[in-house]
Amino acid sequence: MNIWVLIHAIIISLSCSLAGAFLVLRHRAMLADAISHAVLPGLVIAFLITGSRNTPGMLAGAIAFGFLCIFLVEFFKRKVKVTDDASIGITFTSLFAFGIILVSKYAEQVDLDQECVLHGEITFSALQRMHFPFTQWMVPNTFVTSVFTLLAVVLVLLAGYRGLFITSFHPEYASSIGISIGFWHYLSSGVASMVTIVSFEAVGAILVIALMVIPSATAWLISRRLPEMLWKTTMFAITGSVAGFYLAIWLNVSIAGTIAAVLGVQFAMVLILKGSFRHRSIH
Amino acid sequence: MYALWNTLGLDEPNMRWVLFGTAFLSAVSAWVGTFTYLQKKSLLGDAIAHGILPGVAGSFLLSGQKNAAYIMIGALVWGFLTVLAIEWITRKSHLKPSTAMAIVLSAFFGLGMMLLTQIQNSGLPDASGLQSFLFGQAASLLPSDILVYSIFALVALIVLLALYRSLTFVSFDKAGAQSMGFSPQTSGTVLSILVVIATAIGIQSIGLILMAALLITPAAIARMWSQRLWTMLMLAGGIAAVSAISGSLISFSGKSMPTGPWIVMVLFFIFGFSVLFSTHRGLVQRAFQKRKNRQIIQRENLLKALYHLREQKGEQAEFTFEEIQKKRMFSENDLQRILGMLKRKKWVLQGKNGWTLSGEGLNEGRRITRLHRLWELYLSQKMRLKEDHIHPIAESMEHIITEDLEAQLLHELDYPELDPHQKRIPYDTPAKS
Amino acid sequence: MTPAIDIHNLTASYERKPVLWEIDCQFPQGKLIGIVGPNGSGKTTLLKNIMGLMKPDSGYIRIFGEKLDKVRHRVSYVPQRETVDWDFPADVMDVVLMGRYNPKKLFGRISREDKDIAIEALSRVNMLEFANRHISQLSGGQQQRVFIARSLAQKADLYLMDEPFVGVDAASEDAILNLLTEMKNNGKTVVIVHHDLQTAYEYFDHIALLNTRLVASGAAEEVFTSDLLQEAYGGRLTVLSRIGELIAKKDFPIREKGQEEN
Repeated sequence: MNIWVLIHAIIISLSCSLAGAFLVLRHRAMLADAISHAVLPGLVIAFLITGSRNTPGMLAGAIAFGFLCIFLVEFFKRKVKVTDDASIGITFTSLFAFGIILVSKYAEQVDLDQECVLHGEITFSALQRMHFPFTQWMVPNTFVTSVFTLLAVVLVLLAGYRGLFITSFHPEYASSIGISIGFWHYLSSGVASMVTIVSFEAVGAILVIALMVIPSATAWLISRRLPEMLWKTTMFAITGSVAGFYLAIWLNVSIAGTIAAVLGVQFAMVLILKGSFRHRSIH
Repeated sequence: MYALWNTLGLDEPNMRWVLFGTAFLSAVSAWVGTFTYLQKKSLLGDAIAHGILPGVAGSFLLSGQKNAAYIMIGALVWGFLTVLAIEWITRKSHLKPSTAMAIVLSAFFGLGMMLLTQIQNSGLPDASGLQSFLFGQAASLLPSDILVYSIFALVALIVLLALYRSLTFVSFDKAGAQSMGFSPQTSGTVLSILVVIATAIGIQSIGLILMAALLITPAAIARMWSQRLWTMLMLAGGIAAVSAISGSLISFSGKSMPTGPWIVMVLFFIFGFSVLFSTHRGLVQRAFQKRKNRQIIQRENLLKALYHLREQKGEQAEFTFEEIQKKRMFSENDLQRILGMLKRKKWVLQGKNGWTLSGEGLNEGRRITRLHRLWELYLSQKMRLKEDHIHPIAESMEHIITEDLEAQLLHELDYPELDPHQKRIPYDTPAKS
Repeated sequence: MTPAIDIHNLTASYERKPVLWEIDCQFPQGKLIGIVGPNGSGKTTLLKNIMGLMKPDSGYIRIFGEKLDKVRHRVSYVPQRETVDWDFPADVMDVVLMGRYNPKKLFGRISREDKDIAIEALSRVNMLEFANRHISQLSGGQQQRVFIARSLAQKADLYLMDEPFVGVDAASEDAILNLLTEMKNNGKTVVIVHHDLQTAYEYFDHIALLNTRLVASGAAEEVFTSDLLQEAYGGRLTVLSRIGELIAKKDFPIREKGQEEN
């Protein structure tokens, strides 16, 4: 199996897990679930219009639906007084259903099928190659987008570290000193949607959720401070995707599925170990 | 008509079985979902629905066939495992239930996907049929499948009815329920078990990825139309059944169309309709209410202005446009419109020299003036507000006070004669001395 | 001297139901001021309105004679302890350093001076030895002291604290009280939301008695009369709560159009 596929998986897992960390810290993990389902119609529609995948159009379409999802969740909650989690549930099931209908209706035109929506096509996308800018490397087609997404995530994280920290920890205090909570809320959900969209095609809806939530939740169990949690998050994301990748190849099963399962096992192990070494535990 | 009946395949008894079967199963899911909605645990259904995939795939892998009974058993086992895992995480760590759900949901589903690909590799004859569990394929239901699912649905229904009282109690009043001896712990566990069953019975018709919609959306819709549990349950069940039938029919008419997404689309359509038009919280109804409020306010302000003019200038006087505008700022257009409206209601009369109040209009003008002055008095007496502060809020409260509130005000203030500005408070009949 | 806080005819609602009616009062500078009233009397709502965290239906507030945005750097807010998740990955120092954040400095570096200020604030609440402890390992009183240290690090002139004595051990209560007196002696104004009548009289110089409406506001000895206390704690005015429900149900505006003041 190609080494680029593994590198690609690692890069995706890094951007997903870092972007997801702030959803987890804000107790909005299920929003990752929602966004990862909700972007599907955007992908399909943009594909139908532009006629090709992996274009800025597709990205724009998906981002639009990511924001539509966040907006609708808030709208149903505020204006119609639907409970918070029901609002999430209604929004993403509906958008996802709409996407699936589009996929099955235009199955011939759209190079996506129901299978790919779930599993992603990380191995398949490796078949189409292109030059990585300024190098001799032949890399999978979607690889370049993933790299730039990771760069963007890291940049937002470094520049916005303090804003993300204070608004996640104590929104009321943050707004009392004049920091806009809305801006940081939409920034963190916006980054999460962007990452979802870029990763969706490669790894499918479910692994996106797993990557966004599980590594940071695992890291949170054994971290005292935010920087510590963030680097541990990246460690768990990398170990999970490497172990999952080789296990999947050895068993000849879905790579995305195996990585998600391995991340779950990692989490369970940390939780168990932490419990048995309670006297040394941090929390 | 008959042709349509035919093309939809409804002449086949099998199809009728499928339709009524899915309608019944969906209704049961929606009933359970109503309780989870009220307890704000809606997404538990989503987590369980994803979490049962390893059970479905595993039982297929073990038995080598697509048998509803085996699949149901596998699904139930993994459903319970999902619930247990979520509870284990929230008990052992500081993570919130929603985080725990996202973790278990995605990890279990990942495991399920591993098994699914294993099945595809194994080349078992039925392997392709497994797709129907992801997105639902009602057409693939055999009468025997429906029978199996229905038995479980019936069990869920019986449990639901047997524990109806305690579930209701816990849904609406957790503290109260505890003091009455209903343990939220136990009924929480029971509800989780019910959600597992409610999720498992729907996987073949709607698919496990979208199953959550059937638990959440009908309940949310019903809540928009009713506050009473019994009505909510009837509505949610009905909506789920209708969506299941129409969603299945739409999907039958197209080739290779999964059922689940169409059922969800129908549900969303009804949801959107309710968001706009529900009598309880609908946007349209609220816009109307706002418009109506604005009209009432303008109308009453005009009547009050006329009443004040009459107080100042005597009972016989008629008032011109300009005089009214001087008394209170109305835009030209507004004043025209409101006067016209009041004239049609016969509350104002148009004389030679201007406008005057009719008998009924007089009563109304007096009532509003009275409410205004009563409220001012209330503010200054009961709320110790200074006299120069009370006018603005009395200006808006005069439109809101109902008859029985007025009675209460009068009683509390002991039928006063003067307001804080020493103006007389006007009564229809002489005030009690 | 301009009052520290000047509240004009403030009416504020929660989910469209008015919880504060026509509050009109002033708090003097350089005093310990208590906002006192039974549960659900709108104390926290009043604080949130002063801090601009909620938009009032009518009325306005001036702080040191100015709009909040102009003097925000002179005001510090200490929310209730339950408003944060204490399992958040942060230690005591991280939280106190937040007192040095402001919207403009969100991207700059934390300077040596900021750190010194944070250390000084921690030592003023006797928490310096806990600087590197994770916040989940603190007692309720210690958590409250961390919040107050963060507030001190803001170097403000006006401090608004929401129930700082709730769930606090006796040692912390003494420490906080001494600190408050010290702050007052340095010319700071401290406004505290407090629900305990027993202690209110001895703690505060100036008291505002609240029960969805303002019952009284003035020097502690003037306000603490049995009549006024009876009025504040003797139950809600039923007419007020009934009309509040009507407003919420019928979507009525609390102020008519064109009538809004600034």
